Amino acid sequence: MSGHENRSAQPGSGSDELRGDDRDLAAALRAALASRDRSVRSARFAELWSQVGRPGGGFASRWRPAFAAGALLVVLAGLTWTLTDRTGHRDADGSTVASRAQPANEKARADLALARELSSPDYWRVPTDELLAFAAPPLSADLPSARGFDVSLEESLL
Amino acid sequence: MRHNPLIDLRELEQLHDQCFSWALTCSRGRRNEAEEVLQMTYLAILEGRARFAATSSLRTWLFAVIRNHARSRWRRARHALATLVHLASFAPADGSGTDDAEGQVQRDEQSRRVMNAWRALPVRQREVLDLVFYRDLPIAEAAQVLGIAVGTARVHYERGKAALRRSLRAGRIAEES
Repeated sequence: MSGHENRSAQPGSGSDELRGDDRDLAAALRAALASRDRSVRSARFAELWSQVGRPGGGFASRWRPAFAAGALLVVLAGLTWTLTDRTGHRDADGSTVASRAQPANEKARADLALARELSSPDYWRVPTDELLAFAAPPLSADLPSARGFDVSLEESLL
Repeated sequence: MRHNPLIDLRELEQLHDQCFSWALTCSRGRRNEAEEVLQMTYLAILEGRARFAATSSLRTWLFAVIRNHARSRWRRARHALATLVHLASFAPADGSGTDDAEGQVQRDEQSRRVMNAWRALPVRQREVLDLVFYRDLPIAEAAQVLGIAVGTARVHYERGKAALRRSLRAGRIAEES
């Protein structure tokens, strides 16, 4: 299973560098690791290789769509947040009152129009000066003279 | 998928068991992780992302690719998640689950002692001892697999040996007393 078991000692290999007192230590560790490897068998090479060779195979490939979907969601969320935030700033400036409300129905639209009308300074201005300056035009009708104007009590009542 | 022309499939197949064993070491004895690492390695080879330039032996190069995959950031994040899940499930901390290959070694008392001492070593020391003692690689090649300088590998090797010997001796004394 291990490389050590499969190979004879080769010149320049790790075992050549071992001193006498290291050999026991190396043997002990080797036995422990070999025991570990014996207890755990890997999937066969052909099995793993065919999995990664298949379109969509392999761990990374299997998760790639999920990562892509996640990234797309993050981008969309960021875009939405940015746009919403920008609208909010404009509202705070008060420069685009019309674009702020965007009423969803007729009632909301009517309320907005009324609010806009009521908030206009013209709506609340009292035209005192114009009223004072108003002069009635002279009356051009011919009225009967008061001297000859004699109306009986009965006529006045009718 | 691109073809990696310098790699002979039959040779790859012959090295499969050794590769799995090394992947097991790099995955701290977790079989599923080792198989996934090996699968990612094969996929990288198949897609031509991992290119064998024949500057070292195929085995050395494969071990290096396997180790890189095992130690990638994503793997570490996943390992952290697995650890959290493991802690959340209140499972015994000795890793006696069916997936923990090193836990199964505990049937053999001597092997168990050595494995425990080996597992307690820092990662680099553990890896270099595995490569030199078990896989019979010269220190220079082990350094190549680990992506470190030969001098550094030698330091890890000497320190690992000393620590392993110390640990085994301490364990023996504790048992005798």
